[in-house]
Amino acid sequence: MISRGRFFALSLGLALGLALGLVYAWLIDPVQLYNTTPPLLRSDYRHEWIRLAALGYVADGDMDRALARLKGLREEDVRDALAAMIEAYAAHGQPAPTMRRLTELARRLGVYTPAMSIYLETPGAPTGGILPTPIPTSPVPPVSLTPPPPTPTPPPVPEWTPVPSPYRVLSQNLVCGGTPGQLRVWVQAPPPPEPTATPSPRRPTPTPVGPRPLDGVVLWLLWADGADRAVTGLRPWVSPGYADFHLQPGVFYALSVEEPNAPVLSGLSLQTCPDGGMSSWEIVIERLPNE
Amino acid sequence: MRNLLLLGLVGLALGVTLGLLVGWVLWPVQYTNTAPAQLRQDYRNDYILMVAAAYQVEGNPDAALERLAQLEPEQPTRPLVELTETLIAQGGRPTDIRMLVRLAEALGATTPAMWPYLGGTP
Repeated sequence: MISRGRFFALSLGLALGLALGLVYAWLIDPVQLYNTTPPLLRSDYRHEWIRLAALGYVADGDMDRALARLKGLREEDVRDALAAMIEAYAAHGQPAPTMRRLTELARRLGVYTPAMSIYLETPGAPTGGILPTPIPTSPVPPVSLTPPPPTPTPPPVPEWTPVPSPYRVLSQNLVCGGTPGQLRVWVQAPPPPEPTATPSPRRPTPTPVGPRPLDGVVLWLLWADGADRAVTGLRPWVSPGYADFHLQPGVFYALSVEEPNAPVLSGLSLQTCPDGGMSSWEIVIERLPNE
Repeated sequence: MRNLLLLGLVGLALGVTLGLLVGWVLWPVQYTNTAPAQLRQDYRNDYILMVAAAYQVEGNPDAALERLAQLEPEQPTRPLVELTETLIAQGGRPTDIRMLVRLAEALGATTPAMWPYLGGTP
């Protein structure tokens, strides 16, 4: 039978030893992990891993390998990182083949972002170009300040299926002077219809109301190897309905509103001005009144 | 008194053993915020391959070097060279080797083993 004193000494030693052992094992010399896996990475490194896995797929096109690299990672992490990457790449106008690969991977993983729309319409199709001459989908004829020079051979027409746009081109002008190589766009709503009632001689004639600039409208500029996006209203000192893009000489562009596959204008390209400088385009787009 | 001290020391030894067992084996510190440098070797190799692929897509050698430095800050190109030479020796995927060699060339880290993939001797 162990005495009370002996039991106390043993217990005290045990407790003290346990405490010392835990302090050493947890704080002084904890287990060092050198064989971790991607899911254990810090959040920023984890997102970087996902981006790299996506770029790996862009480079080698090996879907199984890309999925294996993403295995074990949280679905939310993969979705968020991939969606952010696609949006950023679309905003920077990355080449269409890159965007197409990213879109394929995203679709496989159940990720969807608005920037993917145009590439989802062209499964595996090689990129086409845009028609060589500006062709508005509205009946408004283009007004050019200078006669356009002979256009190069048009690249093939893209294979995506355009959908009817609720917008139309009201006017388009080729402009020489000012900042060259720009596409300046104004988006507006039509003025409200005038009252049909005959004005009373006692009442003053109402002042005509002009078109209303529309802010927050997403514009898509598409070309053979990429796409760019702008939103109206970010330069309110110009107009709440204004947005602009930079254009490259020799490239044919299509302009869509709201959705990338709803073009209002295609075959847009810069022209040479009489003074030898580059032109710009000024385009006014109007939202069609609701049926 | 001497017996009590002895028992206390035995308890201490048992306690330390138990504490180390719990702290190192049964319930070790859980790492959830690790860095790429702590990845298992096969994941490290994958990481290097992905960095080379990203360089092929983005064409940014500075970004690639920064990513490689996550594995070995002192000599960022060393893991790249080691993996490339290993894959060449083991007959790895030619597309992988070409991507790795291209990155090594951009970072000025080519070795004689890579020359056949550079399209000629330097």
